[in-house]
Amino acid sequence: MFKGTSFLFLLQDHRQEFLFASEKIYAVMTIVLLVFLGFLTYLLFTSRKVSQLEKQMKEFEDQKN
Amino acid sequence: MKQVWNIGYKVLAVGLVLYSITYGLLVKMPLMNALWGQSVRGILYHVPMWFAEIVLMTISVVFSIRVLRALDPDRKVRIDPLPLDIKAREAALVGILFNALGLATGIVWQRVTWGDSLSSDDFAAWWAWDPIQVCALVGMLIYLAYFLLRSSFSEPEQRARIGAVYNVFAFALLIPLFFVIPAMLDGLHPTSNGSEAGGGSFVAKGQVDNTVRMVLYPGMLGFILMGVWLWEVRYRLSLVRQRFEDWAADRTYTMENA
Repeated sequence: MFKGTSFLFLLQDHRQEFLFASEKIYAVMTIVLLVFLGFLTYLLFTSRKVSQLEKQMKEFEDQKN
Repeated sequence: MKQVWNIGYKVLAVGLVLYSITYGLLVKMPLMNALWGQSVRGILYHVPMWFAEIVLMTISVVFSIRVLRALDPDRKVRIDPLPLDIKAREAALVGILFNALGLATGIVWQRVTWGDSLSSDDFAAWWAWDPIQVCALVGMLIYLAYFLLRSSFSEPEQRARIGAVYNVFAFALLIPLFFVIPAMLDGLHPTSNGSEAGGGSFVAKGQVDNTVRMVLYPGMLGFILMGVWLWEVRYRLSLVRQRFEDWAADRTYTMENA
């Protein structure tokens, strides 16, 4: 009944249905988003901290001069 | 204007990456290739990592060349090579991170597509010995050696000079590793000689459609800009650390000689 690639297409289609129907794709997306948001928080926090340090250093160098 | 660019590219990077993650995972991909099926989604996250790596390595080599120019004794205007050296080093470091992410996303994609029929205990299910995969690993090791080489010099100017020369050679090696060698050998990538796409292209011709392109190209730009942002933060952090170390050394020297 199924020949060659058409069988593979059906298999892949079934996999997609499974991924969406079981809502596993939402779990994957949530985890990826959480990882990305965690990285973003780290980047923003570090950037803010570096800005404060740069400001302190500038003030110190101005005092020194 | 600088302030607008400084904030604008970060907002754009976050927006594009969020779009790439959410839309890329939720959109129903057309079944264009019997083998790939829905795993074509892998392209949305695997390819941008390599583009981000190449951009960052290019930034790194540009700053290394500037270091060598700054260290030229015949130069009339004196430029401090050390901040340029820090920029080159940090760009290479972020580039290595993207190299690792490119390898990891490639392994996951390969596992569920070409290695799907193999058992998880089988090493071939995880590592396909594809020419680009091996060359990417070699490229990563070459750049790790760059950091090893740098750490063996304590004098900053000498470290900057030797590191810059090595970096130029390392970047020159990336070209045959990523573009020439895989094009001559059979492999899974579309750039490979014996690939289904016929070789010579980054995205398999006729095997991706506009749904993929709609996510792939914005995602590429988003990940590149995220890399640039990470590089900028790491550079500023390293510069602050360097200045504090110089200041502490200066203070110790003054106290010892008081």
